[in-house]
Amino acid sequence: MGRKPERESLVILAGLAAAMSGCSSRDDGQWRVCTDAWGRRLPDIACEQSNYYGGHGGGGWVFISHSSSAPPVGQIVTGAARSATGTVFSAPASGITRGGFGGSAEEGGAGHGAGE
Amino acid sequence: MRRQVITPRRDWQAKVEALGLLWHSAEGLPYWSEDACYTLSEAEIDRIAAASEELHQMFLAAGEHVVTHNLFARFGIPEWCVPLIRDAWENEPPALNYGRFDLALDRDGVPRLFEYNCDTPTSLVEAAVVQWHWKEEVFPRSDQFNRIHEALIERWQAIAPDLQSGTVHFAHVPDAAGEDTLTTAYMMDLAREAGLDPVRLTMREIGWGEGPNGGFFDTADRPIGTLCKLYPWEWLVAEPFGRHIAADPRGTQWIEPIWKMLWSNKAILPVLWQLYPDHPNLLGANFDPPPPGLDHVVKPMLGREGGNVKIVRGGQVLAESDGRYTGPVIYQQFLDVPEFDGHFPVIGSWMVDGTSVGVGVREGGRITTNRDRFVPHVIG
Repeated sequence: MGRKPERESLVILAGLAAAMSGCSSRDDGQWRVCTDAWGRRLPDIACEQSNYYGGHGGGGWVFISHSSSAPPVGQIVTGAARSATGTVFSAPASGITRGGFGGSAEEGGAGHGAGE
Repeated sequence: MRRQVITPRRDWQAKVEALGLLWHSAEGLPYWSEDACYTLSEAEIDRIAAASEELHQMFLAAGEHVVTHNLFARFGIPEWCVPLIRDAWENEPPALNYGRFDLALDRDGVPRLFEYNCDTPTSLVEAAVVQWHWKEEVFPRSDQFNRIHEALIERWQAIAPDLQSGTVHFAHVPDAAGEDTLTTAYMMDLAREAGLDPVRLTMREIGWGEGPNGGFFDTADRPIGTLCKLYPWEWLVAEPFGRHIAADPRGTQWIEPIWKMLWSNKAILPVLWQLYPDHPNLLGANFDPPPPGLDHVVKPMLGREGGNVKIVRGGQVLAESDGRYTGPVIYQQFLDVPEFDGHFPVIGSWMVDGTSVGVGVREGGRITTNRDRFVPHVIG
């Protein structure tokens, strides 16, 4: 039975270094957000269905960078462009919250791992 | 199986660090230990590989038994998770389906199963990479049972067409020792070699957004299509975002999938014993305590890294580990593992999608914990 790997040189250091720096070749992309004429955020459906809510009142889709957070519905969308320049994603209806995972690992003292 | 005392490479610390093994020592003692190695015969490797692949089939049957007979409560699985597990079990979303059987060779050389670490297995970098480089330098003419690295790349390639996109997120906790961080970095490297685009984040950085466009998001607020986590399911579902998994409009793909809650729970051991009583590769296991006088081991169903394990022999506690794992336990037959120079080796038998792909040996006391040492092996 052959036991050896097909490749005898496993070089992971470069990969590890890149992974640790978090670098990536991703397209940064943009959020697509529906707004009214005053730049307030509307639910996406208001732009998707022209008769929904009686229309979007002269607003429409705007695009913001992924480095920005899309505000909740009803709030003013800032830093938006009228046209997209990259990959477009639909934004969630409310702001994105974080911190809801990871707490169990800290119960045994900060810095513990989760593998076994 | 033989244990051979050898001289470590003079600059072994720098060499293993260069391969990513930064946690080679703990509390002043080496965790990566190359002052010894284990020699396994071809026949022993064959037995380990065959037993592991048979165990995999038995785990499939045991999982089916749990799903069919609705035994989720016995596993302590929250009711709201059951439809998710059933769906994942039946529809088989993309999975690496990898894991590490912890086995011992008994006094007749038969592999016996202690447990299966298949949700968040570590000791991966040392098994897949570091011990191979050690062998190439120290025993270049010898062989080693180790194609873990290649098998995991092939598995990523196999599931890539079923992923939501070519971007795969990898989440971990920022552990002080660096083991989880670098194990995740290694997993990312495997995915990258398979042609995928990995993105790293910590568990705390995972974002959640409500509404039809909501779901899980990364640190740049990009939707997470596929998330490979080094974080156990039983923790995930108990945390504030846990229930969002059931309400996720985008359907983030979790690797490993939620059905691993069945196999990684030690409650699977009594189920296996019920389905395959007296199977030579199993140890007797039960949900109920054994009759007085019978040697046994008590293990928390959701214990990790040997925490809160108790060995009872001759009516006395032979060994007991501390930990933070309370809750239901299972009882497993005690195996008097052969001793090698005062060490008790446990064989980590690595599996990828049902195939045995390599082994890594750890040695320590009667109870295997995260303080045990990883000792490389060769075939001889």
